[in-house]
Amino acid sequence: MTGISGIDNLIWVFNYFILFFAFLVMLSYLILAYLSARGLRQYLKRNRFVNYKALLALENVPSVSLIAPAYNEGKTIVENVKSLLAINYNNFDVIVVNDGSKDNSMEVLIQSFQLVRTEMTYVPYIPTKNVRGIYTSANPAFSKLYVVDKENGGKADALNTGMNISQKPYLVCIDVDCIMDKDVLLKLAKPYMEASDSKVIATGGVVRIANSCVIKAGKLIDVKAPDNLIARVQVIEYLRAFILGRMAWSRLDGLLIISGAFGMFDREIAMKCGGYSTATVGEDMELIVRMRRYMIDQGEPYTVQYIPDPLCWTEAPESFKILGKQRSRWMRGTIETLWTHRKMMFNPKYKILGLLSFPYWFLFEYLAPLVEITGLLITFILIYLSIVNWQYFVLFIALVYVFAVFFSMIALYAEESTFKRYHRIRDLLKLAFVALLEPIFFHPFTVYASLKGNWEKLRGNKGWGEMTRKGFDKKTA
Amino acid sequence: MLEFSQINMSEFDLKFTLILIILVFSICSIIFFLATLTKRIFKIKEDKKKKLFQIEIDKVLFGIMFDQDGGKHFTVHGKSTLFKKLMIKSLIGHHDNFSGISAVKMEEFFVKSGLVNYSLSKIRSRSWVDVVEGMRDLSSLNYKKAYLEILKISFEGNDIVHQEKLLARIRLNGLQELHEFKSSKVYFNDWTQSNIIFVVKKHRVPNDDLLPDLLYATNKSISLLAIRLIDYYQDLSQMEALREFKIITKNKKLQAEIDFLLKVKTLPQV
Amino acid sequence: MKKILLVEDDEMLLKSLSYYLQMNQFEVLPYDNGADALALLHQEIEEIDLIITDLNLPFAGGQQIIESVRKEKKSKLPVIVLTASGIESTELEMLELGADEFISKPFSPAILLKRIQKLIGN
Repeated sequence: MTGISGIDNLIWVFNYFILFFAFLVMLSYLILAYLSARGLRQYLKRNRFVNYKALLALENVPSVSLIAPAYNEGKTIVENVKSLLAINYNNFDVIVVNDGSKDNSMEVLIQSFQLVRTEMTYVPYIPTKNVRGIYTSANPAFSKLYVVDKENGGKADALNTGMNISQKPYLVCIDVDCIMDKDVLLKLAKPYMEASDSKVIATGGVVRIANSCVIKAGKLIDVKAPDNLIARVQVIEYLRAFILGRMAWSRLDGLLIISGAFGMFDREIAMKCGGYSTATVGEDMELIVRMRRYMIDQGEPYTVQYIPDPLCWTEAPESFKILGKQRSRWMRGTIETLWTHRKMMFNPKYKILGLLSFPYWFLFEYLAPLVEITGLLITFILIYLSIVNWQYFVLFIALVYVFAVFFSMIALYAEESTFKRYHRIRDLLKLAFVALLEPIFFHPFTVYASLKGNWEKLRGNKGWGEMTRKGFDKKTA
Repeated sequence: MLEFSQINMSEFDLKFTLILIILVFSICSIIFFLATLTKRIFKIKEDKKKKLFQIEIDKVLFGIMFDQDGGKHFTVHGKSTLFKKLMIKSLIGHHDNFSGISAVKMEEFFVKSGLVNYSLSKIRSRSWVDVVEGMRDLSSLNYKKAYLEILKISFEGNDIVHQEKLLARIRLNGLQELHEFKSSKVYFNDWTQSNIIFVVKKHRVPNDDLLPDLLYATNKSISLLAIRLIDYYQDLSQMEALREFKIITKNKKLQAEIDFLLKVKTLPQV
Repeated sequence: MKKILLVEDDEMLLKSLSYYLQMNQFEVLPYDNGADALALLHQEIEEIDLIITDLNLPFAGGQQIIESVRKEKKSKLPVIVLTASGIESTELEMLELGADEFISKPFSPAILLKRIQKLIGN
């Protein structure tokens, strides 16, 4: 201690502030985990008897358009579109939007699916970039397929184009390279069929990580823990977020985002809201917030439903470079969504959404990395001034580390008690091992990437961060 | 001014508390990890057991279905619950896949082997999960004697039990079970309706002459169901009644459904 | 012994039908998905005497299997399609695609056997 009472008090206050913040974070995590676990248990107990195939008995099931924007995916696009067409459902079409790819995507599609240009006129209810042509297949086996060729305008613009073309009341927007559960539409559609008094505007499913999994002809055959460490950490990360987080928010009716990769929603409401925003890099989370806000502003009763089953498997970044781009983009998306809808903050009109979810999102998604960095900086200053209390320092670090590991272990246990997708002991050991490493090599990087997102937002960088994907075809060969 | 840092007691407490919390978290992490592994090991063992059971079950059931006198003296007496569960699942599966003598043989075996007693004990259980499972199994294997007992089952406010009960009644006693809902306030949402139609198709529930009566139910969700069922059976006189109903009814939703179904049906001929 | 390629994703039906057909002196090649069945067809279509396939299959449906068979050298290879009950419109399409027989589930194994015998004899 310095002996100077002012500074000592300041340090004391700082210690306790950090401690308080840390405990707040931990406590909220634990409460959410508890609520999620309870919700999941109940869901699974009820869902034991659900026979999704029964849905196929009804001809008039909610009809759905799958919208899949594609940019330079010629390598894998045919296989991926085929697997989309093979989804188990009565009443759907697939709209592939070629967003001005520079590769041979369009040629490959035309050739493989015997596409012919239609006379359909394109009506841009939501303004988009120019559409060069709408194609359908000459082969009746692919009658459900539409391919739209348009000028490049980014993901949101491509999704809006698909939305304009669709004639179905419900939409599912996905990345073409997602591996979908074959019952995905049955599961997403069920809540719409059960609705009675309040309108279901969106249902969202869980995304899992497909790296190192065995994939055959666009279908998941065997689930394995990724060999790549960076991808493997993300498995733990996704388990925590989806199993221990989302379910609780859904129970509290405060689910701000339908998972980043996909969900099913009401086309009419989405169009009334103006479709996807091209002004943000987080268009999927922004739209769902806007839709909910719209319903509340209109005073219409509505619900958003969350389906905890893993429905969509996606390839996670395997290098820090691409992960960094993804995470800084997520951070920019968060900032933009929070800023656009700042009026919801602490606004009792929006109930749990405004009073709890929004502040929580602000505090833990946006502010937490900044607090961490501030804490780190102050610690450096204290070290420089050589007034750091090393005992406390070590204890704090140890506490945070142990808690992070503890929480990951709960997530792993929750997965094993619910969906049980990792069948081998070996995979569980691999996941547990990476949970020990995560706080050391992975977490600091995500904090760095969040900071970078903040910085880029300040600098006004709007780039989408190109995701170079390895493509699944390597694994299927 | 009070010197906070000089309160040594508090400092000691804080340090001690921190160490304690760290220890607790560490131990809990290990416990959760071990619990995960234990669960997995148990599951792997169970899967192995299931595989062995399944081989035994297949042998018995194939013998009964396809051979003249296979599996006559088989009884589940003394078999484990897991075995019984698996066997019922297989029985229902084969029963769903095959019609004719093979299906009847499955029904007879369900009773003779003693499996029926296991299912009967389930519908008498106090857990709704067991009751639902029992009703499903008994009715899927067409055990008519359970009908009256199923009729008496009541779980206040549990929609899953109610739905399964109705499905079981339809399997065992046909579509006449729907008539009591004609003027009730029970709303049959699309999910329930798809389950009913699924059961009707899968279980080959016979057509009911009184189906057109349901069209005029005050419970509009029953009318909707009736429209869908008439469309499924495609009985000429009932289809005529359906067209007539379309002219009479003022309900837009019902008209739209009739239009949708009739259009779907005529499209391939165009 | 005649060889039957059996493609069906319901594991229980695949097993029981295989057993039943073997019992009736057929050699059965059981597959639970369309992709593997197609791969086999490309290689050894000459060896196969009859195909029994489900309509809704993982990876490649019954339609694709028929289409691909009709393009092969042995294009007259008889195909029996198993359909779930109540898909009338698909049946119409299937007739056009060129399946030889339809059997809608649930079915009696004896009837399936008669159809097989009608198409390829014992």
